[in-house]
Amino acid sequence: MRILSWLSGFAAVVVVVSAALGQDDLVAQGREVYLARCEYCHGSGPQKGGTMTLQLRYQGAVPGVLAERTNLTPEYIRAVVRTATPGMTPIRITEVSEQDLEAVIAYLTRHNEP
Amino acid sequence: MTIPPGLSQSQFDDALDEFRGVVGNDWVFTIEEHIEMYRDTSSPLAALGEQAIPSAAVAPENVEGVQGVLRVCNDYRIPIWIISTGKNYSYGGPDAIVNGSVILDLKRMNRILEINEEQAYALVEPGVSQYDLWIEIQRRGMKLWIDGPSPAYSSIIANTIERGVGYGPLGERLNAQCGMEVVLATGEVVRTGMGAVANSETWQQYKYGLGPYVDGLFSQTSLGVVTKMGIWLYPEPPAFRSAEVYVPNHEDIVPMLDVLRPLRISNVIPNSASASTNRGGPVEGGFGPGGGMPPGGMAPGGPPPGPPGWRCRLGYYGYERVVDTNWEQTQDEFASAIDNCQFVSERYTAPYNPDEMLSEAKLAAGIPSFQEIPLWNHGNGWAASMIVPFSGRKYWEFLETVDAFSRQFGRRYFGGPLHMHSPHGLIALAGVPGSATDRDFNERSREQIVQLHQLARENGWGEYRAPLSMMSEAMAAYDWNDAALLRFNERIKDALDPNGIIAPGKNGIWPARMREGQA
Ligand SMILES: Cc1cc2nc3c(=O)[nH]c(=O)nc-3n(C[C@H](O)[C@H](O)[C@H](O)COP(=O)(O)OP(=O)(O)OC[C@H]3O[C@@H](n4cnc5c(N)ncnc54)[C@H](O)[C@@H]3O)c2cc1C
Repeated sequence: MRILSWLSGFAAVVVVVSAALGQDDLVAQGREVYLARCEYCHGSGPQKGGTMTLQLRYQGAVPGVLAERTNLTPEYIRAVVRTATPGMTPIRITEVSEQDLEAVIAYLTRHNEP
Repeated sequence: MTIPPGLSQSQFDDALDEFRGVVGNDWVFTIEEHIEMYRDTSSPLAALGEQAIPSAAVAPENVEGVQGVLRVCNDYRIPIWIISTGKNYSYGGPDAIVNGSVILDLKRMNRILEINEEQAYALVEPGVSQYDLWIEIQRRGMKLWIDGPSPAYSSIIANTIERGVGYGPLGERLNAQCGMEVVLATGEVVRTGMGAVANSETWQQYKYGLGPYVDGLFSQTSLGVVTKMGIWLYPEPPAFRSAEVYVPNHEDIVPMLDVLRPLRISNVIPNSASASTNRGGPVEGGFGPGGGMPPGGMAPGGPPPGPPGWRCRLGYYGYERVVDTNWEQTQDEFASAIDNCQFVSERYTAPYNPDEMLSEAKLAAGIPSFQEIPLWNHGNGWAASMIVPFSGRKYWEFLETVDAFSRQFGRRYFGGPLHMHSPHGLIALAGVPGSATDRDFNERSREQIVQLHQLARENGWGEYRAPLSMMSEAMAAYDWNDAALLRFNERIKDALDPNGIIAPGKNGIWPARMREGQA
């Protein structure tokens, strides 16, 4: 329920941002934001709490490093970022703006099967 | 929608319009999805139906914005709760005490105003995290170390003024604080220490200035909003050593503490040493009913899994020979006091490569670690962090007393983490497990933690920092001379915050208009 209302609340933003920036630019911007705000916990290398948790959870079925995943949907990314989950605190709009979140979504879904 | 106490919906709507006039429409959050992000879902109060819900969150970008928000709060008598990065999990997260409070979110004030390599300090705003400062120091190639708590996405200012704990040589965080800028409840801006001398260049070099030293009033505070703060940094040492000592038996904690105390006080061990039992340990998804041993050292029934005994984490910094000699001396002291100690240590020399360090070493070197972030949800439990005499025998008495008490609740206490960041002080944690949904379970746990506070008061164990849901109970231990200190704090509160808007109830200090009926 909560996730659904999230999506309806922000559908308008998605359209505006995507229209303003080309997809490549959006992916590049998303990479920047990802490196600054997500990578420290979700990157490769030792002692990254997010990566360690996902490795434990999925036991190799999907990569532990988020940027290597190809099955993350925009809805799922948005829900995990903005709501509390067992492994991750909500990330507020003052930390990652709506526009930056759209860019991160574009970056993390760049290799998804169409 | 929750609204602040004493306001009508239309008054609150007017106040929201005024907030929007101050910070802009985008930075006043009121819809449920946004409010949810300003709630601690690991709160023990959630299952009890007693968790305060914010009425709004407001995020100014600068000091003028903070002043504007406070003006509106004064006009409408709206209680606000301050967060810098809002990651105070296990002590209450972003939660306020009073239902309907407005959350003042300072994350947008995130400028690093200065990093001075020669004088080894930084001047930062509240939104700057440990990681933000560390990465900027790396980017500039400066030979400086920071220090800080294990969750590295949290605020340097908030953690420091909450009197938090790091694990390096500057681990007693408030000790490394030098100079503040504070917006008082009335909107006036004050700079402390040498910052009060208009032309000084020494705001971050000398703490005290002249006259009463007031910075302490703005730690664990409900008197003002800290908008800038100086923090001392540590010049990169030529070498450092991260070390651990393991002792095999439960009773070995007695000589372990007696060995540690003189080494810590004399600064042979210069980092904020910490110790914990070898048993139990964190489990994914928290520590609720049926889970593992909570961080507070409490377990149901018999001993939790894992070997008996204890371990402590130590750090040494400086020239290679000094680092080695002090570690050798530490091992000698332990070996002559305790049979079958085990020593584990690694020496690192500059230039350092964080990727090659173990997580213990990273913590001891102040390198942001993200290993513990997924443990942010500690299972909706409670903890008390009590200052007990720094003596093996006295600590053993504490442990046995808390264990005997816990058996009345069908639980056992095996000893929680011990912090020695303040070199003469020993802080002992004891926690009780909680549940996100089981009201009966939490009622029972609350009864236990409330009674533990009474036990603590009888034994003279005050807390160094209190979780939100037990702040008044924790302050009750500070009862000398008919709680003269609390009354002193209340007088200061009433003088500096006459409308009682900032963080009412924080650490059991209530403003006059809310004091009636508070224990
Ligand atoms: C797994 C885990 C490990 C932890 N490890 C540690 C640790 O090693 N050391 C440690 O100290 N803590 C630790 N904590 C507790 C906590 O996460 C940290 O202390 C964290 O730094 C606090 O969050 P924050 O900096 O975002 O503070 P915030 O949530 O932003 O603020 C905390 C409080 O400070 C006050 N405040 C904040 N900003 C201001 C301001 N500008 N002016 C006036 N008052 C203000 C408010 O009362 C607020 O409630 C741990 C928690 C967890 C869950």
